[in-house]
Amino acid sequence: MVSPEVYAARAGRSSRREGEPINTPHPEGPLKVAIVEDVRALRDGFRMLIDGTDGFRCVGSYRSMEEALDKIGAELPDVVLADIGLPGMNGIEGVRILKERHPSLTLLMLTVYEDDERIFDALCAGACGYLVKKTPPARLLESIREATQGGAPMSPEIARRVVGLFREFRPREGTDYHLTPHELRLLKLLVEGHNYKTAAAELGVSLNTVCFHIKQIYEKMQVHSKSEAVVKALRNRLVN
Amino acid sequence: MPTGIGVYRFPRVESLEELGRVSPRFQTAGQKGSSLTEAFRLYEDSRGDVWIATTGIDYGLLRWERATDTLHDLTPETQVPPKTNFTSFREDRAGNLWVGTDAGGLLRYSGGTFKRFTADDGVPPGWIIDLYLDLTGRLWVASQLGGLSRVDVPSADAPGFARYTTADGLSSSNVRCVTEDLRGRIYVGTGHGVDQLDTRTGGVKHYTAADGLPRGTIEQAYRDRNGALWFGSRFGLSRFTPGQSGAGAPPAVYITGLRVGGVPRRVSELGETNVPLVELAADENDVGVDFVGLGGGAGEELRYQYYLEGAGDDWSAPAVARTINFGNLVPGAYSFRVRALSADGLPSPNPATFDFVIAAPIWRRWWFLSLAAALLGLTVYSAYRYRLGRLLELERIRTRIATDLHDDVGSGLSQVSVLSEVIRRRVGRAEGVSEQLATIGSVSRDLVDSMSDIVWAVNPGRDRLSDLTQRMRRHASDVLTAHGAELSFDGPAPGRDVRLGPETRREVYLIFKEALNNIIRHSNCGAVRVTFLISAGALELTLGDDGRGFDPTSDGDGNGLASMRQRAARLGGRLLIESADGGGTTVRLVAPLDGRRRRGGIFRLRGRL
Repeated sequence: MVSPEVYAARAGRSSRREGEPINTPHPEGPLKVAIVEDVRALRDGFRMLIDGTDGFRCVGSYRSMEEALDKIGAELPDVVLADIGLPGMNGIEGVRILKERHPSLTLLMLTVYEDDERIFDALCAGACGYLVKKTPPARLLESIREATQGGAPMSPEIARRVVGLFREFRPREGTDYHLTPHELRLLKLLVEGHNYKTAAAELGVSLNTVCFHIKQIYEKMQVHSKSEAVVKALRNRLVN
Repeated sequence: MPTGIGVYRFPRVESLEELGRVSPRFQTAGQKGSSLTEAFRLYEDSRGDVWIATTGIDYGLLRWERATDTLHDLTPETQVPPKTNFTSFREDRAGNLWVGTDAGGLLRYSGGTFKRFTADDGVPPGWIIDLYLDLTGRLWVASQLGGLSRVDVPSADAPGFARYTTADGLSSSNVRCVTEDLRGRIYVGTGHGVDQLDTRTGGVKHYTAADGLPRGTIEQAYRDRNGALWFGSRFGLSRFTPGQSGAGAPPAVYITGLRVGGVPRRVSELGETNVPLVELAADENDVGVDFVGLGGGAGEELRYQYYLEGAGDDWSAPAVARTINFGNLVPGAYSFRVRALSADGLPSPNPATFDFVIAAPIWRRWWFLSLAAALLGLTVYSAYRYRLGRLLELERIRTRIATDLHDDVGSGLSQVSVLSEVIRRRVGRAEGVSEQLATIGSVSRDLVDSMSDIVWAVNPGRDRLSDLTQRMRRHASDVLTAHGAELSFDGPAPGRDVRLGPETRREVYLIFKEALNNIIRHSNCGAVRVTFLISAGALELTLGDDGRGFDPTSDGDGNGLASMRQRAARLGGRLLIESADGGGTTVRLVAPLDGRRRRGGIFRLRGRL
């Protein structure tokens, strides 16, 4: 069983026991979160959890991407939690459109399993990270906040595919979107199954350095995946 | 001189007329002990003794010894059956006297004793009617039933008799007399004339009354001082002057008849020298050829040799037969050749030929065989592809079921997790309830993890050793980091990333999880060392901690040792646990590797999902 402390460890925070509410005062007011989830129990449950936690406010809960695209403009959230498997327009396509319309949004995919292959595609479409649904809700919310600050987790699957993405589509010369050797080494360790803490120990750097690298990697990935060649190829793959 | 009333010896006379006036010096009639009447044959040996064969009432063999002028009766010593006639005499170069009999075989008298040769020794049957010693010292035996025999070494202990019969070209097996010309050719008088035998070539020339011989059976043959040969029958006497053995023109040979399966085929009336290629079906493998040679001198008996290329290695032995049959020939190309041999052994310069081909039956033709082979290959390949397709289909089904399970059950459990948390918040700190709700939450989350493990184990895309190692390392990192313990994880060398079957992956991973679980819950340790090795078809997983230790024999509640051992047994391996109170614990799993390539898996297809 993956204990709640995992995420904290990954993000470099100290371990915390399950059940304690988060008491982090937010300077800019509560974090505005919108949810796109078709299963009612989960949608309502998340909404209750978000509203019931200090520092967070649920500004919208939608059953589908179409509905979200329609109504999200009313009160634009900071973070959108989107289920990866949605009826109608699938989560990934919706992510792309949402990101195009509202580039400042932080999009997080909700997934049942961490090694879901669709996560990577969503990341290439513009998502900033992912959350595992079964995470104890307390930690879930903390993860949301961390994700907005760039501390998104990266599973071995995603690491492997990031490496593959950069290998397959070499960014144009003269851009900053190449992976540095440090980043590549880190990715390789993640592929082997290290978490951030053990990877940091292996590389001989601090956990914060690792988190920084991860953030860079994500940004590069999002920029890179927007490049024409990649978009075309990924779209072909998604269609297939 | 033998007569019907005894033997008379006359002194030397100048002419035949004087015999009438001279009185005999010796006569057997009236001698003591000899009631001889008919004397049949006389022979003078080299010592001057005269041998007398008598017949009539007394069958006997006498010798008149010149030196002592005595008559010896040697009959008893011959040991021949009673009433045996002695019919011929000849002395060989070694001084042995050979005596032919009519039914008692052949006797050889040397050094005062008789040795008797019979049919068991190779002596021809019938009257030994003549014996002849040729110019080279060989003894020829003429037999009235058994043809001609030749003894090459008459003085040998066991002389061999080489037979000549009609099969060798003699005109008859009734050989009455033998003589020889100055060139070494043997002449035998038979019931059908005279045969001239050239011992070097084996050729036989035949002469009859048409050639000038007297008719009837040639009873006597004699060579005179001049080398001429005299042959006499009851009807006359002829003199033969042997000429040079003319190297006559070699005979020509023609094929006069063909039969396939007994059915005659058309051949030119005049005979053909080259029958053009005939193609026969597979069942027409019974071929007969008739042939004849033309040429050769008068009376010359031609012999023939044939050679069937494709079924034989060389020319056959010469024979007089003018037809030959080949049966049960295997399919193939054949070339039949025949040539005639003159009596002097000269072969036809141009053999007559007949080429034919026996076609292979349909089922042996090359195109049929390659078609059949191709068909067989295609069938095998199709079967292989079919099984491959089935295997893939099964995997697809398996993956789809897992995915469905994955999504539905995982989703539902997530709901349980979230809802239980929502309730927990509402309920607040109510005693007991909050804890139980927390349990609901954690159990459901554990279930999602288990589901994830199943889906991972079944995923065909995750069948490598590196996938297992990664998942294990990931899980260990997460769990131990949260627990605050140090992890040292040594995975297998990256060299051989073998494929693992889903059963192996699952069992190894679950054993690993359970062992880690125990470490977290019970050991209170500070550091964990994991070693995962692959070697020579087996894997070895070791987890060591420096914690409290426990008693391995006690299968205490909740540490799942039994299930771990079961899993190990299912893998075909074993689980070893070493622990000492306060001294840490080591759990080791050793199991054979299911590392066979996918390709082998097609033959292990079982309908299991």
